[in-house]
Amino acid sequence: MRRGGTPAVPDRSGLVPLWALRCATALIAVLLGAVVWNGSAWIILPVVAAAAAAVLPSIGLAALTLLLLVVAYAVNMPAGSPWLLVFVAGLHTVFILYLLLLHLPLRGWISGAALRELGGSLLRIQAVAQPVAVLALLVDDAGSSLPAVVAGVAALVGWCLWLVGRRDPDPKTPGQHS
Amino acid sequence: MARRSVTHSPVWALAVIIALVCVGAGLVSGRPDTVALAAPFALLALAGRTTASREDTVIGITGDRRAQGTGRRLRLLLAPPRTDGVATVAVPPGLVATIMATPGCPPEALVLRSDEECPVLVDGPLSGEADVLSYGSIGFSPDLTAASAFRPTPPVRVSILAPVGPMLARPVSRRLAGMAGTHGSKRPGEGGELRSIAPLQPGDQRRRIDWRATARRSTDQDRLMVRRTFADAEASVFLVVDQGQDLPRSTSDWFEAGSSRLVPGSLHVARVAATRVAASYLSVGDRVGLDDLSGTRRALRSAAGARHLEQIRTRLAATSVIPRRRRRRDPVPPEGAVVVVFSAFLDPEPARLLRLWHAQGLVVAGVDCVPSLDRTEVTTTQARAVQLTLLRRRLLLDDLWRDGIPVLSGLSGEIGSGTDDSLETGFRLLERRAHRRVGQGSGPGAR
Repeated sequence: MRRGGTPAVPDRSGLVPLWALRCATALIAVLLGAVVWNGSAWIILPVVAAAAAAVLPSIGLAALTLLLLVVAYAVNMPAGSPWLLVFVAGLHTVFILYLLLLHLPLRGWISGAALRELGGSLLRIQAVAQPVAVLALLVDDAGSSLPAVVAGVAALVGWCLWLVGRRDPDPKTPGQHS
Repeated sequence: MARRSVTHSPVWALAVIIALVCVGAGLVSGRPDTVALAAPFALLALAGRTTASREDTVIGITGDRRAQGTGRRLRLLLAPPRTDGVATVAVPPGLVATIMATPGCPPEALVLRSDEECPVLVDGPLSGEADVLSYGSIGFSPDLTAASAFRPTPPVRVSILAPVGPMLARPVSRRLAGMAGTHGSKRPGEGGELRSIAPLQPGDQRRRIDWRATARRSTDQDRLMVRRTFADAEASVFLVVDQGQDLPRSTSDWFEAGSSRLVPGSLHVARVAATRVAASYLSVGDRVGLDDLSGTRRALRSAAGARHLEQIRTRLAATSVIPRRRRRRDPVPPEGAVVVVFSAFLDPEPARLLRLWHAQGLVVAGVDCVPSLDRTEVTTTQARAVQLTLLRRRLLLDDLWRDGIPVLSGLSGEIGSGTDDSLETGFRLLERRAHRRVGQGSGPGAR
């Protein structure tokens, strides 16, 4: 039973309420679903799943939402669609946000710096995933052109090697803020 | 060579499953773009494979009270650990989710970067010791593929001293025992109150010679007259706090089980009233002792001074509800002390002790510490239980009044001031009564 205590309140600016993050997560999932379930009444299913996964701490619901999006993309989207780039970024974002919300109670806050840290991590992975998606589109369009495919693969491998070969900055010490 | 056991999180498994589904669907349908959907998940699974067994992602968050809020609001600081003994701790990059809960509230999360600080405002008790914030933390790697287990931390506990408040009148016993103070006793000795003027006797101090009286009374100038005085003495006060119950203001809370909210109850009223009484007597150099009815702690010995007031306030702040246990003997007040019992008077024990000490000739008073009640019972049974409790209490208090033992209301300030039985009025009347008694001597009709 809820008893009338006074909750703890952060006394600082630059915090985003978790409900905003939950709404954003559900919205991204619904928008992605709207693209692949275009014109179908069954869109209600991923919408409900996406909204429930953003609120309830269930890894099953998160998995269901992501699988509904992936399978619907494979079934409904035409091959070579430029939406692939959006989907690669969107699915990754939804996955990361679901992972974060999975561990958290319903109410709370997240700092802007923490969101930036998440965004940075997301961008690092997208730096490899997006070229892979571009290469897939290239292979789809020019599958019979071997030089184009080889050139694309070589460019991707070079890009990945450059990313991996970069020296990591020193770990931050306490008190350092970006 | 022993193989290192690696445990994978459900998150890692989910990333692998989605990546496999994407690759499978792409291979079956012959579409490389569907296979490309697996790229971020495959990379996350790869990152999770290397970081799944890491335990150093746990970040300890410490509560700190470097700055105080205003009123009941306390300002705490959630911060990463700065030092581990002597060395500065290097904070691994990542996120820390602090799950925190205040009494009576559902848990809330505060997600920060691992090297961030965040002040938090929480409600504190009006007086006494209480856990104001329970919290624990979860550490995440920057890409969220590795998460530590929830690590609970000991709750933040604060101790708030009761305010001193305005001074009260100071009724004293006629049997003052001390050798120094501001009250006049009935013993001859050093003091300010004139007892007699008499011829100089061996042993009289020369500074006691009253030359005017000598000139007036000794016409032949053959004898010297000296002033004799009553000795000054300090009063002794014995405060007894009944910590058997802590009745909340709202009667529906009487029936609540589990963690309590930070609502002021009868113990808060007792703390505030006892602090006021102690401060009033200690401000003029009297001695104050403190004991409780639970018999679990040693009594605070009778002493004087500002430091003793702080000791009393600290002891009162540490007062919490402790069930009363059988004592081998009743508390023994100092001889000639004024005894004040702070209680909710829900059972006969405080009344019995008041009667006992009253019969021993001590000046006694009870302080009723029940706050002004909000009748918020939910069921008929609760309403009957509250009515019966209040009726029994009323009978106990009426019996005490009939026996000539005053019971004052412990409420002060905006709630109970101005009423006939408030602490201010009651102590003023007691003081007047004590003066009258001293003036009339120790006859039986002095009360």
